[in-house]
Amino acid sequence: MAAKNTKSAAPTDESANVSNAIPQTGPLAHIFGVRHLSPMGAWHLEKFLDKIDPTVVLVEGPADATDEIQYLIDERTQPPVALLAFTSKRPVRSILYPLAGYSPEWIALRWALSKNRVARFIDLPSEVFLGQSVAAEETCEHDLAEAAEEPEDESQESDLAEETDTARYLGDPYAAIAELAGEPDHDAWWERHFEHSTEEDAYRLSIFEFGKQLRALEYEQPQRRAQTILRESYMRRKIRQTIAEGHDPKKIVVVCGAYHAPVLMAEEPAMTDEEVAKLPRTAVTRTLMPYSYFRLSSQSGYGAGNKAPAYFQNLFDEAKKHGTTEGMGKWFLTELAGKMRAAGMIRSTADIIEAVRLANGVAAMRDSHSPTLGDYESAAAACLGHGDSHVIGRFLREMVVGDSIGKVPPGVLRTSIQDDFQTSIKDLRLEEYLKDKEQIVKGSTNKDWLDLRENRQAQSAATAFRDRNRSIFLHRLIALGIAFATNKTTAEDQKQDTYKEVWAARWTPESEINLVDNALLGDTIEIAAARKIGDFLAQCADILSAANLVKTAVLCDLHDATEDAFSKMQALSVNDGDFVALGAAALELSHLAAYQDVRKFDTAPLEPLVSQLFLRALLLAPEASRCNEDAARKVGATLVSLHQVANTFEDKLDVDRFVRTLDSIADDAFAAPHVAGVACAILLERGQITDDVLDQRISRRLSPSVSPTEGAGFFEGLAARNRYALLARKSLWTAMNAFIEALDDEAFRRAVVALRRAFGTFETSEARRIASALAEVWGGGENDLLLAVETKIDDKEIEAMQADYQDLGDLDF
Amino acid sequence: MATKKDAHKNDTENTAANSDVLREPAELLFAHELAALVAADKGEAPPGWKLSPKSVLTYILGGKVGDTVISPKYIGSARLVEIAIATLATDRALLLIGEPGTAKSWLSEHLAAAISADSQLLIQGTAGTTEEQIRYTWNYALLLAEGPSQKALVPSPIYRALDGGKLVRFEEITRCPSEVQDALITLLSEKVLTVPELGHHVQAKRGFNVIATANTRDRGVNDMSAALKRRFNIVILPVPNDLATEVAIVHRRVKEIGSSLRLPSAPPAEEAVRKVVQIFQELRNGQTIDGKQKLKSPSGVLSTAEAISVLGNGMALAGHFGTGRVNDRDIAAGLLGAVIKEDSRDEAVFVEYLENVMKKRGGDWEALYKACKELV
Repeated sequence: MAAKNTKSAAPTDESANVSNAIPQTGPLAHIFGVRHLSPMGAWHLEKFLDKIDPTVVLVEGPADATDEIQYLIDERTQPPVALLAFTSKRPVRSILYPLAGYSPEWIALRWALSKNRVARFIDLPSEVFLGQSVAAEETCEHDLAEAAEEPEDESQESDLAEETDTARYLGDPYAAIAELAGEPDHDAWWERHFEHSTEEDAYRLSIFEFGKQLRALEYEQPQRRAQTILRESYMRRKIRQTIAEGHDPKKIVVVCGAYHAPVLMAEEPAMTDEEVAKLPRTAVTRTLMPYSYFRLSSQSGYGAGNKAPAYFQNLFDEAKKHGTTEGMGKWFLTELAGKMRAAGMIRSTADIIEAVRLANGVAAMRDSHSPTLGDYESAAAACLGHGDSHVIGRFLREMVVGDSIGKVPPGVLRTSIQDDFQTSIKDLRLEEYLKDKEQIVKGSTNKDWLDLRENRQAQSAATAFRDRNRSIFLHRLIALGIAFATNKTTAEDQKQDTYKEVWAARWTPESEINLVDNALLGDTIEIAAARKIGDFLAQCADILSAANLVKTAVLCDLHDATEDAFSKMQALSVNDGDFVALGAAALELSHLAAYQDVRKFDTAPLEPLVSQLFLRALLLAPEASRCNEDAARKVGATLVSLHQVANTFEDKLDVDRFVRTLDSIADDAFAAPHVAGVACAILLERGQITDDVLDQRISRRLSPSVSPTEGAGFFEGLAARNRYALLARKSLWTAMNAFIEALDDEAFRRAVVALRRAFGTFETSEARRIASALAEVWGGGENDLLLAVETKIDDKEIEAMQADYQDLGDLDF
Repeated sequence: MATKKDAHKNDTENTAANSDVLREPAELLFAHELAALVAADKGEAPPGWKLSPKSVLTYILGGKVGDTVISPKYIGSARLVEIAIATLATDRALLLIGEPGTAKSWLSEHLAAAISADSQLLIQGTAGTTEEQIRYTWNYALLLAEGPSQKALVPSPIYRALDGGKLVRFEEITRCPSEVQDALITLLSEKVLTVPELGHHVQAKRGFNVIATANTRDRGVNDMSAALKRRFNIVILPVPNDLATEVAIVHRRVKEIGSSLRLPSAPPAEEAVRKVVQIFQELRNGQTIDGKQKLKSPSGVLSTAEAISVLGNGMALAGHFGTGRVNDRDIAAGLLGAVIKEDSRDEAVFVEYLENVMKKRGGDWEALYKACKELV
């Protein structure tokens, strides 16, 4: 397991004899405990390394990722980045090891590489971590302090039952310390006590003591503790191995979490060969990926982080530049005021001076070396926000969290799907959307939407169809479940122009992880998407989801997948007896015809399938229409869908049969009245029903002998479409009148529910027409009736009616 | 102060009860606490201060010094109090802004008591406040008889604060006309008050500073000029938003009032306080605590201070005319007065609240509901 780049270079200089102030570390090595993502840790560590001038730097991190270290020195690599290890078999599990520019580990590795010394990771290999882990997602939990901040994931929650005595007494020890010190949280306490001290060796010695005391608390849950002990004994083994290679223990520096520092000593045993052999392992792939400040901050889903990455980076830079963090307040508050000025809020220099003084004053009240972020924020609220913290919130966020995203050199990304993603992004000119901030994707016409049509002014084919290609690419990402862009196209947009699509993009490290999750599906986004759809198709058991997959395949411009989806649909349609699903599937397919032009989509294979579905639906229709009242609504809607399909493919489908089927349903005494009503309405719309027949059906369905709910249901179905034609039909209203007059009180109450629903969708102008039709029937004055229709009933009347019709429920009169 | 110190043992109420003064200033009321803090103070007090900033913080937020329990004076964000104290420790003036009844004056009084041991240097801002009240006036009889002399000069509280190196409180500063407010500008930036008639000027001694308060409801009446505003650090005191905090504040204050006014009744039970505070919060926020029901808000402010006075009122009623125990009828009277002030629409709001919220709660709300119902 020896690292490849072993270069024992630096001369061993005995005179540089730095006394190891850590007691009892014995001859093992220099141990430098840190908090991950601690700027002062990084600063002190760099000084310590310069002083010791070690030949080897050992860092707590997955040992098998040592090879990846070389990429960190690449000038094109810009932090924050993260080492990502994921299992080679599905389901993909991963661990993440984020590094910021102010991580002590980053500084240590960079130091070693730039001076040509050996740099290695010494923690349990990621293959062991993932071999052990049962949780779906696990963050790298190297840091004691981070561990406390991490949102408890499921695996940890299950451990809660076994909490230790300390945990029961203290709760979270970190929170308890902060509370004792009167700080709002652990971060504030930590910053106040560790992140501003520039005194030589103060950091290392005090953090060592801190780690020792924490260990004495024994607060870890048993399962976790076992893991910690395993990791520590492995780390000792790696240190021993390094010494065995001939490195002088005095010339080895180990960088690890403060919690581990006290036990990485000679007295404790190292892991034996047998124990190593027993460790569970699983095949993993590792890669270096760009990370973002936003994810590093606590808003992130992947816990290992700290709240103020941009602030801490600046703290580190400040210490590096001036050797002290005293100037931080001046810089921070001036910058904040500058941002406010840029946004049009005038803040004077005097305000800044006062804010700096106030921050120092608040810090002095806590006997602190220097103000902390919290002090700056409160001082800024009082002086720059004029007491109101909301005023400065937006600017503070930019300065505290920041929106930086790391970079890794091309070729480092380990999976070809990542490379393919990057290439596509570049080809499609989507680079500017690789930001951790939601942006609307601008189309080639520079509008806030993509124009899927050919751009006729374009010079090359690539530019002419760029928007369409972008759309295809983004649809493929969605099919793969990669969180990068979301389709914001509204039904409205689509209705107006089928060539219009609205997208919003936001790149997050999670997108990268999603990408890696798909690495096993194929080498390119296209192949992976096709395979993913193939997987879905294999599981797909009903015709409607198959139809949706066809649509996805078309949107993703995957011809083979489209054809596969077609044949799957066909296979399913033979056996699928669900009339409603068949109708919906047929409608879904007919919508695709709309893409014919803009997506260069060949509708030819579509037609036979649609006609097959259509036919099958028609055959099932008469049976389906003999249903109960609840199902009637869906069946009615499906008839309407079929009607739309018939309109789209007018000349390709067996429309005559459709008309005949509708006719028989309308005439079928056993068909649900609502369905029959819809059938009549469609026939009327298609002009396939004569007045006599319609009148006859209406009067039959609304004859006084018919039960009131049935009559009302029929009317509702009939009124669902083409009201215009209905309204003018005097015979309808005569029949309606006779029907209602014949109802007794009880029956009327039941009928009124359905009628109310049917009439509720009418607009006022339509209601007027009905009123005039009724006036004719009743022979009364049209105006009186209109008055009655348009007069709003007042509250009292409603109450009276509600009292009368309690059993009707809360009708909205 | 020393004699008083012996008289009571950590018991604030005794002081008040033993004195004939209706309302003793904070530095006398809490003299034993301040004495204990002075005795135990290890921190360095800024020049002119009686206590170190840390001890001032303890005095305001409460805690323990040796055997002396320090009662909390302000219940709420510790951060805001820190900022306020730190501001006074620099030479910036402090402006406390908040809705009426958010303990602005209360906090400023206690800050002055702790820092200068004198909370009596006070200017009340009104529409009639003149510049003389801020600077100095004359004893005109003497002035006419002897001409301008130091003897004939009547110093303002600010004059005395400058001269004595103390804190001066300026209440409701935005009620004063702007030109009067601006008289403060030179005082705050140059820290000097000139008396041209006598040809001399008073230099501020260390420890001088100003705590002003302003009411958000007065916004736009006499807004402070930018030049003046710039000389203040502003701390906005929030209306307590959670029930527990506000109940704690009201409960504590009501107990203190009861003993200082020697009301012959026991302080109301916490349950009663909780109910009143809940009613106030719900009406103020326009929704029930559980967020399920929207309510109309009355036109008044319904501050914490008013909740305190409703309960104080109830105690007085119960003590003098009732059983000595505050019951729901005693509270109802005060409640009604607080909610329905001048606007007749407020009555409708309250009745709606009674019928739609209180009535439906039933249980231990029933008695209060009935008591209120009788009155509207």
